Amino acid sequence: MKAAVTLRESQLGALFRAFIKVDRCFFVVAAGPFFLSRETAVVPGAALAELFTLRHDRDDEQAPALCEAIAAMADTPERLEIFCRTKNIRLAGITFSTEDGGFLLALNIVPEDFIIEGQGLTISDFSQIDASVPALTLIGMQRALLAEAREAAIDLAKAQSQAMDLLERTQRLGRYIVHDLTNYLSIIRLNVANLARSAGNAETSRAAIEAATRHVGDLVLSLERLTGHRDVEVTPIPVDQTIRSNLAFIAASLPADFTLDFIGGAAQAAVRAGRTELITMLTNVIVQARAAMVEGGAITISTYCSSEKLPTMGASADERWIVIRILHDGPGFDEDTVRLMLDPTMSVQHDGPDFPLRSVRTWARSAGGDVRIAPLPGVGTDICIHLPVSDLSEEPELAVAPLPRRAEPHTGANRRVLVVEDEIHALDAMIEILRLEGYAATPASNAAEAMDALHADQFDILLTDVVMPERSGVELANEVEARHPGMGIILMSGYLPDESQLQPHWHMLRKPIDLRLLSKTLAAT
Amino acid sequence: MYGMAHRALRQMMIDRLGPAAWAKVERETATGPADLISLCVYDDSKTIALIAASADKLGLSFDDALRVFGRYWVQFAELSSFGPIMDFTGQDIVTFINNLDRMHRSVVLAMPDARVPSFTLLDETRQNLRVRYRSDRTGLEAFVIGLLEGLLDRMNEKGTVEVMARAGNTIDFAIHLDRN
Repeated sequence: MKAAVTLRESQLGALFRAFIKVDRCFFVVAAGPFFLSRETAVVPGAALAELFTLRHDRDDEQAPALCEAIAAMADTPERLEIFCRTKNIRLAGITFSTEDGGFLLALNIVPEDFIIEGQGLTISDFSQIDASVPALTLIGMQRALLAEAREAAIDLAKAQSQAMDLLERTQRLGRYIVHDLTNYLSIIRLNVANLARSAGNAETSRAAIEAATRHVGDLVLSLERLTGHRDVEVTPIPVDQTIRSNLAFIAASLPADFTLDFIGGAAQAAVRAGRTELITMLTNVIVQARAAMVEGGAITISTYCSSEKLPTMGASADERWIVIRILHDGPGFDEDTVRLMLDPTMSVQHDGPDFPLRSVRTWARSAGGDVRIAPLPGVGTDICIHLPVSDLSEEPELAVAPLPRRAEPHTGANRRVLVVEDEIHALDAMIEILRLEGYAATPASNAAEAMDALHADQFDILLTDVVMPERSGVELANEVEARHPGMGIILMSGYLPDESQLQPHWHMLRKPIDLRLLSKTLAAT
Repeated sequence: MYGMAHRALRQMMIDRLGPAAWAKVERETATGPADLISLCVYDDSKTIALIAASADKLGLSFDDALRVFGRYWVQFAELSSFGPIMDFTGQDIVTFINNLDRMHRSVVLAMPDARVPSFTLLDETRQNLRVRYRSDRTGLEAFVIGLLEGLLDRMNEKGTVEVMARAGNTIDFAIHLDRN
């Protein structure tokens, strides 16, 4: 029989980091590096039974006596598992009897879920061959990856939400740009035609063309900013003037049972924001309000300057704000709905399209401001867009002279044409060109004016824009046809309207207007 | 290098220069979300390109950026979801360095393609530590200095780090601790 192997305590400690040697009375004689490397009560002379128990429940009265259990297990392959009475630490191993009548508890730490969660244990507390270290490290990595996956999912949801915002803004802006571009191109084309025919009106036509191209430039800048193709320094725009001059466009998104008022109190105060974006965002708010007001109602846009900032704003205290306030008298939203409307993680509302107000907040914040919604249950909703005041650019707006009203009969044979167009430059240019063509052209800037003109006079042809505030050109055409069945109908639009709304005998001209096609269509109507 | 380094670099750039600066780095280096998965191993050329582009934005030389990044890396790892593994590796500088190789060996079990360095504590006194660094990568000396400085920060120690000797893929660093 071979002699028993003698292990030094250092070797023992390398294998069993938490070994404990006790004497025959179960007092600690020596302890492993796990205990030596930290302040514990496991020191020579300590009573083992006061330090450890055989049960996880330390107050278990039925737990077998530790010392008797150790004596019974000694030199058997039976696993000993003991629990620290004061700390959440579990040790396991086997026991040996020693020559001096004591016992060696060859123990290691039992890897627990908590070990890498703030128990103060480190890799050094496990022996070099203990598989617990890679196991616990891998568990830690797995948890970290799960946390990362959660973060990635949240980032993805935010990115998706931002993409939807951008798409929505792009679509609205795109529609706005198409509408405006077609009008401005019509103005340019008609005025160029005027220039070619009548040198005397060169200056007024030039001014109209210049104004139109300037607006087109604004639209392009807005589009570039929106799509991020290049950093564009936005010039400040006067808020009141911008809203006032685009009120008709904003109102075009509302049916007839709505009223829209504007009270400009910001005077000449300006904000550094894209003109088109501002109008698009206001339209977003109006569209949202309309959706909430099934019975129709009144919407008021007002502006004022304030030094009060919203709690979410991080700007300096002395900053001034322009507040664009949209107040409507529809049913007020409850707090939950308002929270959902602005929650970036809510991508879609339950029963309809995306919440447009979230994109308004995104936009306002990108301009250095923010949005506040104050529900007034049963009364309405108060929406305030705060934007930082910016110094107004020195560059003056180009003054645009009115187009000349010189008639030079040509081919129209004095046929009477009622022209309906809400864009004043397009209307002027169209009237001018028709008169030069020999038509007796009468202008109307909306459907109501057109109906007034029809009461006062007779016309052969109705030439009307489709997208107009209050009543669309299609609605007008239907009414005119019902009352004046002999009149020819020509619709003009940058879009092709829903074909089901059109009568087959109506003519449809696509903006920007092709003059030769216009002449042909007029002649054929 | 593994994606956690890329994530740390992203966070450092966002902390220092804002999201737009990092977006430019991503554009310049054709980097996307797939290059930022913590436990994926990426070609070193991607990491080098990201650090070079970041150095440019920070107005630092490549080596200075490496050092700054190394220091930030420790802070990032501590605060990230990998923090518990950092704690498990050690909560004082000596224990941490002594356990680094064991931690790395465990990490490699999950990431067999990872090329992890080795750190050995050659000498230890109250005021000075001598650490041997071995790696099959070259050119990361400044990064390792930053890492060791970051470790000092993490352990609330003050001190300096310098290179004592270089031989092949081995560099010996001296850490001088300001201890009373």
